[in-house]
Amino acid sequence: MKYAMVIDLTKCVGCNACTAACKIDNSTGFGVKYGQVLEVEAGRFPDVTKFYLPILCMHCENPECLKVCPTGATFRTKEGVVLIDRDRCMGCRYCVVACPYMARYFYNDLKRPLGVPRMDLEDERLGTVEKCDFCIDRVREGDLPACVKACPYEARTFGDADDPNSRVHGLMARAKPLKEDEGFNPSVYYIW
Amino acid sequence: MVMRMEPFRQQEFGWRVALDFLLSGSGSSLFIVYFLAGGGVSAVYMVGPALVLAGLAVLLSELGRPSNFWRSIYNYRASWMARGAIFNLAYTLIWLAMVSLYALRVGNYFPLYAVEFAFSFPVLIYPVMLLYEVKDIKLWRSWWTSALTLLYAISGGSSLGAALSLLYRSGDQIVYASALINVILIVFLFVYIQELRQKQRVYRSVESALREMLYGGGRALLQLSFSGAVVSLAMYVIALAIQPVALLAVPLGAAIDLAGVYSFRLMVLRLGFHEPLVSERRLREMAEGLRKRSGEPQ
Repeated sequence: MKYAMVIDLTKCVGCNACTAACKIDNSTGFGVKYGQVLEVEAGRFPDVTKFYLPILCMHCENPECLKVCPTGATFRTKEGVVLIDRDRCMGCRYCVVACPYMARYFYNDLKRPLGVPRMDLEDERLGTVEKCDFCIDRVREGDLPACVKACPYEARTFGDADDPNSRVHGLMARAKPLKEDEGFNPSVYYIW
Repeated sequence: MVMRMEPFRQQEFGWRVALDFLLSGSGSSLFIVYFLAGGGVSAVYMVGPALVLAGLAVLLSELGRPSNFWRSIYNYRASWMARGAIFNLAYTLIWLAMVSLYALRVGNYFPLYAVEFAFSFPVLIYPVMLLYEVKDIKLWRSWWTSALTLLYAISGGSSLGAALSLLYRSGDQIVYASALINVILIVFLFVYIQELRQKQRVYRSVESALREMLYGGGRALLQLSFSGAVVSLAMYVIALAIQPVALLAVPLGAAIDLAGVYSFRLMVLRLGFHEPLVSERRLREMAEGLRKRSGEPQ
């Protein structure tokens, strides 16, 4: 089993429902987004194309973050999901710097502006790195990740890439990942 | 057609990490330079480790929570950040022993000085190795960057040593040494930039930052990485040439040099670039594909 996500850029309208759903579901703190939607402009007037590029942890098969983690806090499950063991993370942030997709965040009180209170879960996250975990707890219970459920245009498809009958497996045939030449083998694919 | 997405820079290691590197590097190299120059003033030996202690405090604040410090010590085999924490801690403990002996005016300091001298080397090189460890960032994973980082640390320490040696009237050989180190630094910096350009390994943003640093005119004063070394060298030369009138130029030159060292640390951290999320070729494909499909029914 290997979980994967396919994002259809032709359907994404940049509404950020996925970003909001992710923030609510994970109770992330100020300025922390496990998933975000980038606005990309290409070309020059009048020949301009603007599109939205949702970014999240790519759950690479060959992740840089895992290689640089000195404590083994970052690990990959047999479902192909890259997770962080908060109890082993020592807050060195090598993984945040090494991640080629800007997908990791370090919880530090110094980053929060004065007057902004901590979220409930931030106490235990303080001094550790967090990121998208494909909502693995929900997925193991048979549900979908929050961002996939929240997308009103069904731009995101999630499932088992190894299952030839799954929708995600079919879509992957015409989808491509970001930075595919760099050997990370991400599990998030894009259709355009 | 403009089809380019900018490379993105890491934002995690910022001014506090640069400050830690400055304090640890300058503090330890001050000790080394002063020890090698045979300076006899005990008070000066206390300054370097005090700076390392300040660096340790900055490092602790960066780790986010106190327990991370202990966790990093247990994982000393795995990373240079963890080793840095251990070296800084050991360095500080030896310093405390030195301070105690100095305050009580008992015993022979020399064995402790020698141990502290030996520990100065790992404290000096840990910031270099820390950057080198993050192999995903090409600019950091370069022996040239590492060597220059080390050279800047030595330059900062020797400048501080030069200023202190004048304060304590313990001879001007450290001023000569500082001037020499600055000359080496300036030459090395030119070679470094040429090397990076020749290898075409730097991204456009890195290159423009380096160009600005070298030829930025008025803004070059702000880019102290380079101009700091030149100005402080000029100060040392003036001070040595017109003694004792211009001796005040040495502390001034040292201050400018230290600002330059900090500026270089910050610049190297800020130039920690990743490849763009979407390559030029891929962006073109995406734009064309999306334009073609925008008319299709969903």
